[in-house]
Amino acid sequence: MALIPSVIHLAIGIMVFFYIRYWKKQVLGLEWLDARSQWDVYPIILPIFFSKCKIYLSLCKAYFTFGKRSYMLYKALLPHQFKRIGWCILIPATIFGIILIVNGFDKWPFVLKVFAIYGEEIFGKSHSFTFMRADITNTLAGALFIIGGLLVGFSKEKNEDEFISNLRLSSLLWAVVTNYIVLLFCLVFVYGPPFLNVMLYNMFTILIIFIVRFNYVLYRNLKAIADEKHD
Amino acid sequence: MKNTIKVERAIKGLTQEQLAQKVSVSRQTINAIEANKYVPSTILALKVAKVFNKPVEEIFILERSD
Repeated sequence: MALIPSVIHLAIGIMVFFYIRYWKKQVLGLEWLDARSQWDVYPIILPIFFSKCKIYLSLCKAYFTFGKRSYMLYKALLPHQFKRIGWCILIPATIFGIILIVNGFDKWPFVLKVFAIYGEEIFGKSHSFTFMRADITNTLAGALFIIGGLLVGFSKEKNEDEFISNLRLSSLLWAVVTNYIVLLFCLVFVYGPPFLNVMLYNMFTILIIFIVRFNYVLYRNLKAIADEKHD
Repeated sequence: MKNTIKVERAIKGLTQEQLAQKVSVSRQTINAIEANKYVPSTILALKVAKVFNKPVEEIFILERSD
């Protein structure tokens, strides 16, 4: 798997970024990219920049490795049983999410001590790589939705073959393009605080559009078979 | 690209389902190929030709627009 090294690179890159941010703030007492200190950060920034280049290169490598054997993609998906588990997570998470949207996101605070790579309290200090107390109701709803969505969207169908794999890929393309067209529209025509809502929903729309579109196309194909009873 | 799978199937007396099982794909795939909605991979084309015992060119035919 060529994807694993790039994920590790990405993780290291993020850790280095926040470690340096923490170091500058706590040890030197400087704000990140403070105007006074813009020039002395370059020796620090350049290695990060190059390490990031490395991430992009390994992502490209992963893409081309997969691209060359794209017809094998359907073998890299999760087994079919995960689809049912995915629905069992996705549907409650969706209902929970809708309840949260209707009732407001801070109606049922569920405060827990969590590990934060980076976090800021409201009117409080910031944390990096420490445990902090935070309201995790929305985190829980979002995380469950994403996990469920991934399981539903990227598990094999019962009869997964090259045609269904092709439908899956084209649905994914369709979802990304549609999502960004809608996002562009909202970006241009929505201003002020409501734009935060656009960003909130946009976290999930690619997955939603993909799952809806893929299942619709599958349904249409099954219907085409049912209509053609006399072989 | 057009194909003569439907005709060949009729000659051999195979249903879509039976052909699908012989080349180990879903019935949707055979249906989509017959309806010219999907161009099969080379592997699948060769498998189909093998089932009908004919060269690939007799089953899958290039069109002018290809």
